Amino acid sequence: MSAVLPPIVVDVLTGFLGAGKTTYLRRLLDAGALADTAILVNEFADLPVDQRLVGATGSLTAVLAGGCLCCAIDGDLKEGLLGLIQQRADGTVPPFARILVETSGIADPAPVAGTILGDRQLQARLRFGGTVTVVDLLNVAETLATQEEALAQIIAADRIVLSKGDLVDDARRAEAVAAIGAINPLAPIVDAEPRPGERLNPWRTIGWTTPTAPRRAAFQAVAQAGDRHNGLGALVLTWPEPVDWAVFATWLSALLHRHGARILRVKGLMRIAGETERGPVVIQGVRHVVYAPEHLADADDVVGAEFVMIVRDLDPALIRRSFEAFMALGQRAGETQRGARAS
Amino acid sequence: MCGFCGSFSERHWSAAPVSGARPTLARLNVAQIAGRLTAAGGVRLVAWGDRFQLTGRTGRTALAANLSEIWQATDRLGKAIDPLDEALLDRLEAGA
Repeated sequence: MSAVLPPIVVDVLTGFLGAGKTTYLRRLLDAGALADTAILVNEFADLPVDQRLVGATGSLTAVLAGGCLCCAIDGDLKEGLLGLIQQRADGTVPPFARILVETSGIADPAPVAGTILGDRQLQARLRFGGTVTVVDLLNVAETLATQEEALAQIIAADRIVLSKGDLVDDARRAEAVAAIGAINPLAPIVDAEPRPGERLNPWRTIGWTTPTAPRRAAFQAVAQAGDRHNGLGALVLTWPEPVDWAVFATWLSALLHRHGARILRVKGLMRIAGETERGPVVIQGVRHVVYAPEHLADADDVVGAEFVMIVRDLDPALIRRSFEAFMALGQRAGETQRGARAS
Repeated sequence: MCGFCGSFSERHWSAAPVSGARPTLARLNVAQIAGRLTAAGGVRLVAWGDRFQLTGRTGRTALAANLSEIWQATDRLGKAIDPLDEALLDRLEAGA
């Protein structure tokens, strides 16, 4: 019997035209931070890496008729990913554990997750990792004011990397950081220049594996953030008890079905009633697309649910009311079941 | 609504964390909870084998494999459900 291979993790590198994605990629490769990673680039570039591990995706902008962008299955990307999986299986490329997809500068990165999660051939073999967005400090204000894709790239980010920091003064940098944080308070913001000796793959640090401090800091930032532009809003939803999964899944799926285009991000942790010995699950979604929830072993501080939503043109207070009404419904159902068992 | 959101997917996100060991119980729980909402739209929902069956007021039926398909079928067979509808929330908060 052959061993079941763990899924390959697919990461995304995005950023607007001229933001410095390829420069950042070269820097990571030079530092040896992407040693076990195959790369799908939007346009072929002469990268300092085994060229067998570099493929091209074409433009990540295809949208199927009747579909929305976040759910579109990108044929070029699918072929690129399947090609790499096959070559790894054949042994014609060095073994790799991750695939990094560099999007086009004018692409919304959401279809990458949609392609992986919505395609039968891909979903069994791949797992979506996270998104790093390169933001050009020199042009960020103008780009955000005029380019919807740049906004989508920041909203999708799990980590923001600032480029061209040497070309702006501290005041302008602080202004840009505040503007980015107001759009996506969940993503840590770091400099493109790595610290001396830094060889860490930045995508490996994404997620909730170091739970309490960064998570709480991000949630606090959401709670304290002031006015946002373009109708954007963010809210933190919490529940003090383990959550009835059927109730939560019913609520979130109905909410995304009706309002998915305006629910830009969902990210958080929750402990599930009846599954408390397995640790909390990570809930992550970009618009309609929800990633397969995974149990997390090392977040013992999570008792109930705590997660963030970034929304557009929706009333955060109404979402909170709806969430709490459904969670209370689950709690009442749980109490009824426990009462029935006890009697 | 986009047709690719879980509909063609074999592993819907909503089934992932709990249904591995007890898929039937998980479906019964979903049918009970989601059924309260679809009932508000005039659609009856029951667990049916390894899926869900929905029946509209005229007797038309549809099968759904997961929650995304349940909401799509409810749109077709009855009145669309909106979890942000204040009248619905009033009823839920009143325990109705």
